[in-house]
Amino acid sequence: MRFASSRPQPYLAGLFAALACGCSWSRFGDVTENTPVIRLERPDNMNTGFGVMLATGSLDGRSLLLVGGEPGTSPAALFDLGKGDSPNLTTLDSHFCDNSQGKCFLGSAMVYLPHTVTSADQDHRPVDSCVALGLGKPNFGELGVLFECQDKTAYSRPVIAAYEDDVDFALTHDQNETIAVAGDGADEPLLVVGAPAALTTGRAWFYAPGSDEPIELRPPQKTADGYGTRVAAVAVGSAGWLMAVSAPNSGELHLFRSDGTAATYLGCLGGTPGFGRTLATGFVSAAGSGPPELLVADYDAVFVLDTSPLAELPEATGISCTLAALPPGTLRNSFGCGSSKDTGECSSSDFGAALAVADVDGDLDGEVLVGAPQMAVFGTHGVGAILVYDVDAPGDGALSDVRFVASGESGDALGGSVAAGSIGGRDVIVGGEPRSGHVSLHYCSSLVPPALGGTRCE
Amino acid sequence: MRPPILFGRRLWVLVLVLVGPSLVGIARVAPAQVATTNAQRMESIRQRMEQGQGLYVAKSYQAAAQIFEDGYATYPYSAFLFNAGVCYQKLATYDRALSKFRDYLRVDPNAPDASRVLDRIQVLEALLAAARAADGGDLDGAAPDAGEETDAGPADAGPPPQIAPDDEQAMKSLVVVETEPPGAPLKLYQRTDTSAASFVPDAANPGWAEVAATSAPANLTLAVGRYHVVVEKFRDFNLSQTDIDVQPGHVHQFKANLSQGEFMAFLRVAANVEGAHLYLDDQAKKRPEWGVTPHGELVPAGAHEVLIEVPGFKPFTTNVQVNHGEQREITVTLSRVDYGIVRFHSNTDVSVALDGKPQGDWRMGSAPLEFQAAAGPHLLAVSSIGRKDLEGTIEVPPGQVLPVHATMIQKYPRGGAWMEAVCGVVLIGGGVAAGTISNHLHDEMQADREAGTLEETDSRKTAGTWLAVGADVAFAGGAVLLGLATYNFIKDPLPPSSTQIDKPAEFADPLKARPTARAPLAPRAVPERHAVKSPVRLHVGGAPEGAGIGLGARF
Repeated sequence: MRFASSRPQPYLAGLFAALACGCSWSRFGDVTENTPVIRLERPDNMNTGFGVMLATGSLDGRSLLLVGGEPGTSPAALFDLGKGDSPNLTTLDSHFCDNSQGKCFLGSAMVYLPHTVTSADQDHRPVDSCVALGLGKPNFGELGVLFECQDKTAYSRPVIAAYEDDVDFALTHDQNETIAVAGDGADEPLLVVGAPAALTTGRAWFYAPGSDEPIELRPPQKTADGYGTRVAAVAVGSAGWLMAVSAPNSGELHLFRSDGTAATYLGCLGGTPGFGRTLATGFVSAAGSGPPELLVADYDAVFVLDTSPLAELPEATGISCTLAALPPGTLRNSFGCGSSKDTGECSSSDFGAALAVADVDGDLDGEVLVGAPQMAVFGTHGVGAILVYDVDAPGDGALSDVRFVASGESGDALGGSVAAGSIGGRDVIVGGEPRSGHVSLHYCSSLVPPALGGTRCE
Repeated sequence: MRPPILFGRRLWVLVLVLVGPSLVGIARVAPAQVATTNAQRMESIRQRMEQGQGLYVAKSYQAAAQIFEDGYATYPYSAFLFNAGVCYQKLATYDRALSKFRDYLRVDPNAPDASRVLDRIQVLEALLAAARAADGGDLDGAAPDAGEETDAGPADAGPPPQIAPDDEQAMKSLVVVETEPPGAPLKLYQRTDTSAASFVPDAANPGWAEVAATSAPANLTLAVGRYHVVVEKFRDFNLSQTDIDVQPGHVHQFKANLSQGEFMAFLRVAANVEGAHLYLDDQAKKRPEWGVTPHGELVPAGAHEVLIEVPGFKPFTTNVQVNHGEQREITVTLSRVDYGIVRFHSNTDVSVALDGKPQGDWRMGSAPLEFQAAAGPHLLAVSSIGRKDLEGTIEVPPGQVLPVHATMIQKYPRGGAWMEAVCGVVLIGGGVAAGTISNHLHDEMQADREAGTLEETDSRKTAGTWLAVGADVAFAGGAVLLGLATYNFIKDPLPPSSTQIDKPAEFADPLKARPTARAPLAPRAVPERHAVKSPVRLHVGGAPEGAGIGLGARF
């Protein structure tokens, strides 16, 4: 008789169970198709500070974005955001202020001029896509505020006489001299220039539309250091223009009125730390009938000021920087930092580092975009975020939305600069992440109605 | 009527041949040994005679004739010759039959039935002659030997006498009559008339005929019938007598103790197991065994207690009452014990368990592992390091040894399979982990997309994609490895461990390995009597147990 021992039994259940758990990798392609956030590709020649400053404009219905690098050392690049949801991620021209058209110190704020008449053209024919970049001296021209156009045209406008020696010294000795340029938003804008003047006293001046003559904006008394760090200009109708020049180190914001030929000093606002550290203009009010509001940020809050009463202030002969002197109703809104469930560390977020007005929801009035580059996202400090405030009515100050890049990392510092690009009947939020060299386009927001969201917001 | 043939020279020779060695043995060895030798010899003769008788009754004449011829070659008693002749006659081999009958008369010319054997020879010669005439004298082996001495007389002495056909009673038996002391004269009478009265000494006794007159010990070849033995007065001993009923093809042994004036009884014990040890009146087994089955011996008349033992069987005890001159034959059926012994060995060192209970370890070179188990089926489990376990059912026979040889086969190496399985599990585990992380990343990205914060070049896309690919690759690789591992676990080109169970053997009998000298039976406390006349009471009865026959006589 024989009998045999048993053999081990196969166990295939685990095998088939494991096989049933297969993962699809194509779904990652699906989820990243037409993402709500896209990042522009940094040009190779912009190694430092890509996205430190942003400026937008439109040309033939197309939204253009000007991205500047580190002031004084880096060039600027122009991007075409297109008309729909598919921007051209590569730059149209990355050679603005790359010293190829002459000596150029990139300013801390630029103005895009879709059509302008240059002094270089004897026939005064308008040129498309020119940018007021900063101080410089074109290859065929004099030193001054340098303008470069996409067609490689370069020309300059003279600075005020008291400032010429400083500019000459800086250009001759390659000493960085940074200016800030702001326009009133018109195709042929009034340009206001601030020169904080690292070497001497700060100065500011403006150019009336179509004029190359600099008109100085000079307070009646000596100003604090840093005068001209930030400038802004608003067309206030028949009253002319309201111009603001800030000295944020002292918390001063000086106001001027001009009819295009001379400037009248209207007084000084301030009193809070960092007041005037950033300035912006835009139509924030739901009424939309008045001139654009002036937005001023200090280290803690953003103030929305009605420019009409400010423009009607009488001439001032002394400097007393306070908000108490504001005419009634001038301060339409003021708000501080807010956070969502995904963001935090408001107190250390550098709230107000950048300001812009954008019609995110397409309701024809703007929302305030406030950069907070040190804000924590998902608990990570320094990722940065852009806070959106819909301040239609006076007194509104609630946080409406927070935009950030989910994959952001510490140090990205989104919100170091902000801008708005008009696409498809609404504005896309543009945020600079200068420390990581990124510029991101945020197509979606909780404020965007579904009809305007497009495929990226589905 | 032919005159009775009395003692002749040949008979004396036969007696000397038979008795001589015994007498010499008596002089040289202990009486007990002589008794044992005689008893064994008589038992051997008895077995052959009974075997031949059985074959004759079963009409296997050729085989029976061979048994008788062999018996005669070993133990030259004339009864074997006569019985062989009858068998040849039944086979119609008349020449061989004639030869045997002639040898019979030559060996035992004074046989009580010598005249009837002569008649048979005449009949056979006539039949042989007729056959030769019919066949032209070419009958195979039919011609009698030319120089053969016969007492058949002239061939033309008239028609041959008629003889009755042989039936089952035709076989002759060997009757041994002994006396103590030996040498006593004796006479043997045959009852010729079944209605004759019982034999009375010194009377006319019609219906009785004297067939032999000799002295003890005497070996007589007798036909079936009733006989009466008379031991004449001898020295100072009185006359002793007894009836004998002779059965066909048997060996009858009678012994008269003249000092007691009685014949001893003869007790034979047979069993269904040959070689079982017999103890007579010795339950405590303080003396050597009486004999081994089958065993028969003269014993004092009276009650006896017989103990039968053999390893593997339950001891059996029976009480037997035998009378003077009685031949008692009992057959017992021994039943096996209710357990058996498993005798286990293997081709390597093993541990053995029966019904889950360890029975011990067996090592190479050692004696087989033996353990006792109740008779019946048992679950045998054998394990050995590095070899395939063995498990199966064995049927332990009752009262026997079950030889079990296990052939333990080495386990097929599973190192590779284990390595594949471990790698497969690791891959599957890694795949699950990678898949889980991938799923988590996808869920996060999906949530970020819905929140409007997902960026096109999100690094999680690359990580999640590679994790998903890695998970699928790991799943596939793990599946392949597990499949290979499963195959290699199942794959086993080596045969399973097995057992070879041999034919059950009997328990070892330690008594067979030692001398079996036997002390003489203790003498019975019977008052010594000399020449005491006693009325004969003859009775015939069957054995109380078994198939033996008994003949009892009391003097």
